Amino acid sequence: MSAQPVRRRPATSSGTLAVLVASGVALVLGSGAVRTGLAIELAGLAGIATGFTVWRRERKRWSLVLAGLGFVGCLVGVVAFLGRAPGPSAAIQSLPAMLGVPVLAAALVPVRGSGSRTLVKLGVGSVFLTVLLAGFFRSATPDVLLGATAASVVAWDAGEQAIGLGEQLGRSATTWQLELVHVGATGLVAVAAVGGVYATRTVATGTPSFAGFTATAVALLLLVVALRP
Amino acid sequence: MTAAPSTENRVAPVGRVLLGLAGILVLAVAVVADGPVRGTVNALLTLFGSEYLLVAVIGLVAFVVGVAAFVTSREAATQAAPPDPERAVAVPAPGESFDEMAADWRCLLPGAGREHRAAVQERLHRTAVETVAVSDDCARETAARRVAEGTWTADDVAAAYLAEPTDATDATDEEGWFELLVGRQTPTQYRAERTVSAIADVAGVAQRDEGAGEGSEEADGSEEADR
Amino acid sequence: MTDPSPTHRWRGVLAVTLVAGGLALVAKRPALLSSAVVGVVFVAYARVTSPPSPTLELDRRLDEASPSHGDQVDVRTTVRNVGDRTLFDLRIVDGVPPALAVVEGTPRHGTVLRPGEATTFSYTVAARRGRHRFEPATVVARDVGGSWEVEVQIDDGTTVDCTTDVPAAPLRGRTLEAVGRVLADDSGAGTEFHQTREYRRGDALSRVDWNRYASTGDLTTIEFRKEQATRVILVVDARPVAYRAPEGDPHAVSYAVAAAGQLARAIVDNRNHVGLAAFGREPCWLEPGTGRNHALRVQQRLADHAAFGARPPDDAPAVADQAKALQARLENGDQLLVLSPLLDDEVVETVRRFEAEETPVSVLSPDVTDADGGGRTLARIERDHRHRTLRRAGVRVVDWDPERPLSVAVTDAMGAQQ
Repeated sequence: MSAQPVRRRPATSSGTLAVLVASGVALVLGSGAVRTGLAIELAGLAGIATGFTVWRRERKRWSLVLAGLGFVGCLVGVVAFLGRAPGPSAAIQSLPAMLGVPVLAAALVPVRGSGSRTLVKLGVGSVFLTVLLAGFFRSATPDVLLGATAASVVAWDAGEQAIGLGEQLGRSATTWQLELVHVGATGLVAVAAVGGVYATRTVATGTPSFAGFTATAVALLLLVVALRP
Repeated sequence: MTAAPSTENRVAPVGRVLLGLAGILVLAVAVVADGPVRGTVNALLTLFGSEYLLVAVIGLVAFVVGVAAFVTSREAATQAAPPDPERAVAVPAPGESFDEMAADWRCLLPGAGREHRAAVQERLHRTAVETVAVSDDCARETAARRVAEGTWTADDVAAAYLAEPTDATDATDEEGWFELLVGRQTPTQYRAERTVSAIADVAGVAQRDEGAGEGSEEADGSEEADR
Repeated sequence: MTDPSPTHRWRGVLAVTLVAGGLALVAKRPALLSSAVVGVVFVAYARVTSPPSPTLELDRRLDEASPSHGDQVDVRTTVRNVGDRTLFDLRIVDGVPPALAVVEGTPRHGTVLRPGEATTFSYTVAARRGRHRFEPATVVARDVGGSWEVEVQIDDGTTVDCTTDVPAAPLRGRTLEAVGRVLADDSGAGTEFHQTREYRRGDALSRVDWNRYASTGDLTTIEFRKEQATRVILVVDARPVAYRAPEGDPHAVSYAVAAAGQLARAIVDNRNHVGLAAFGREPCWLEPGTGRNHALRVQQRLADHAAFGARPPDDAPAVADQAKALQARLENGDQLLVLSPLLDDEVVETVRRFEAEETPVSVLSPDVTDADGGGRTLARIERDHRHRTLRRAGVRVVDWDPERPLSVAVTDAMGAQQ
């Protein structure tokens, strides 16, 4: 039996969760045909991921077939989406998420390398760009936007955690408790944030004076930068 | 905010403190005293011309700072690097430094590489003389002569390599150039390895890659005879 | 425990806040303002968590603490939270002995520990000859959000002892292999009969051979040989050049250190005195002494002293200076037992210089060459030459192939000499 070097791959549970949450955000914000295209693309991604997993267990033929099918699925998804988008704004809105989810998956699939924080950032950043565009085009209700923002943060946190754990402990180490508690805490904060904003919006009526609004915006800007983590 | 005993955050940078104080001040004034704020905002409004422009400028500043934070966030991420205890601590193998010396690219330089080539040759020469002296049970001088004459081994490359002063055989034979061209070995490396094999034959040390694997026993045997 | 260090991992949410807020203002989309508030909440979350201060206890269990060479040893490591706060994010990397490799499982573990709770993980290492001390386990603790990181080291000093007892040390001197002790030649008051000589004035009456006087009338004095222990200084060659090994094997210094511990025990068991010195990154000197406790002291020093560290040093002071310092500490009649892989000419030169100063030297040389072609074969041939040079100088050299127990090598060498 030979020496077992540490395999620095992103932790599986957190990584999978990150991709799933990001996919959820993309699906919720997509509309009509776009949603179908996204679904096909995600299925394709799942195929590629499964293909690579099987590859590790040295069933190379099956893994190639699966990964190939997955790749074709991704392409079909994107093409179907491009062809049948209900309008240019819908296309522009969902395009970043459609590219971002595969990027995030590529950063976290534990196949080779220790994952990439840059790709996690780019992937989740693209998904969040879709959230911003949805807000800009007014194609989603404020509540959906709120939830999608919180979910984007959760996806990013889980992805970063997966890479950090992979670098420090490798993927053979047992880490599920730690991952569960971490992501649970982040989820709680997200729920609290969404709930708080939702409650405030329901309770608060009446518009503040313009001067008060401006001053508050400036104060928040200063405070957030001062408190940056 | 936590008061953590870290060198980085024990004392918050002055910039942060000022920013935080300014933020609190603006917020407090906005909540407590509406008058001054209204006055300032109205002055700014006349400056910018419209409500939207004023708000948009604030928004733009936030946007730019946000993008900057996004771009720099990766450089900021730091985490501890625990040790890698899985493998035995890595040390070089005995003799690895000689291989590196012979494979050194500087050995390829025509003029400047002379010293490097000479060092390799010198070490092999010394070992060859010693080995011949032991195996033939003769004086060091006799052994040195045999090495100089090249009669100590059947290997032409090794014999020629140690027979000549450094660089006399710079015109490497075809085989040597072939090794270099296929990118496997430098001429020095090639000749050094041939020479080591030749010395090992004389010394009776079986090399592991030649299959026998009984090297130490044979070598010890010759030593016992020597004593 | 290191100071807590910020990970800055939440800095990205600042971007969420500012970009969403900025866009909301510029494009007049109030809905996006609530997205910005979500970012603010996460910024606050990252700031309100405080760094953990872990208090942990480590317990390592080996299924076999004294395995044979090549055995697989299961290690079960238990880490207990003895503090009074929950540790939300613990990343444990066990300190596997540097010379040993993990062959199954992983020495890494991540978990959450409530106060008083413990976690256990296990893995398998392959035992190699020598005494291998576990290094402290490294634990990286984070707060629940991961904003702060603290690194702690916890140890319980577990040792894998893969050595066998050695009957005697290969020393120099006439009588010593048989009896295992050195009898000094200056006759005096001792227990062992040496010779008789003519009575001289001043000799103690108790030492006059009265039997002989009764039978022959000659007045003679019995001389006893003084039983005097020899002082043996074990010198471990721990210079950078001695940290050599074929891939995956323990290096020569780890073999030499283990052998020194065994030999110290054998030397005191045979009622001689043993001291310890090193050629390495730091000067090391342990005054010779005898008895089991002293042997333990030697072993402790071998385990603790920086000169015998498991990781190779970057560089070391010149061996000639170290040899000079050692020479200055020697007393007349001391002998050296040098443990060296003989991988360079300097150590040979040093040994010969000691011989020239009338200090008898023996050399125990673990063989870490593998004659695997090229320079590796050259290394073996050169080492053989060094053996020969030393033997020719009258030095006793014991060649030890670490695949075999040290006791076998020593016994063989003694048999060959008799």
